[in-house]
Amino acid sequence: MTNLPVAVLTLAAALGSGLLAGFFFAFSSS
Amino acid sequence: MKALGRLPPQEGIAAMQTINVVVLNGWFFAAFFGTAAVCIVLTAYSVLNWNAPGTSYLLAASALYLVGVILVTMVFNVPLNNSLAAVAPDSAEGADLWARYLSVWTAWNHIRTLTPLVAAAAFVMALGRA
Repeated sequence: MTNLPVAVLTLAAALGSGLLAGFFFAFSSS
Repeated sequence: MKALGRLPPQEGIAAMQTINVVVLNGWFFAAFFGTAAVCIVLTAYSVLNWNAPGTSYLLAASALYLVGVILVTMVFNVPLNNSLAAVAPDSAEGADLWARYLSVWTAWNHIRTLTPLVAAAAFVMALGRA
């Protein structure tokens, strides 16, 4: 991705989404 | 939720009521709404720069998160949490609600588990473009 600010935001969104998926998975699985 | 479902209803209800209070902290809000804010910015960027590399992934991932996590939580999970907070754990009304809560709340929780997982993969795909 050539636009660095967008790349940083995209990485933050990926981390945030993954974090919440893991958080909600704890409720679904246990 | 399987573990709480194995408890007697009054214990499961009391545990979930406590969880629903404790979970509302700064870390959760930062991840939950912070990611939503970033998704809104990325959606605007994607629409305004549709020909830029990876924008289709950005748009799809942002929509998945905003709908599958934020909307689902606000429309389905939070109202059930509010209903659960209003019942006495040892009441018959509480036991009836708890049975519904365990199936309905958990089903929507599966949705908001799967959608951000797919969204995260799509964000990574967007990063891999260009």
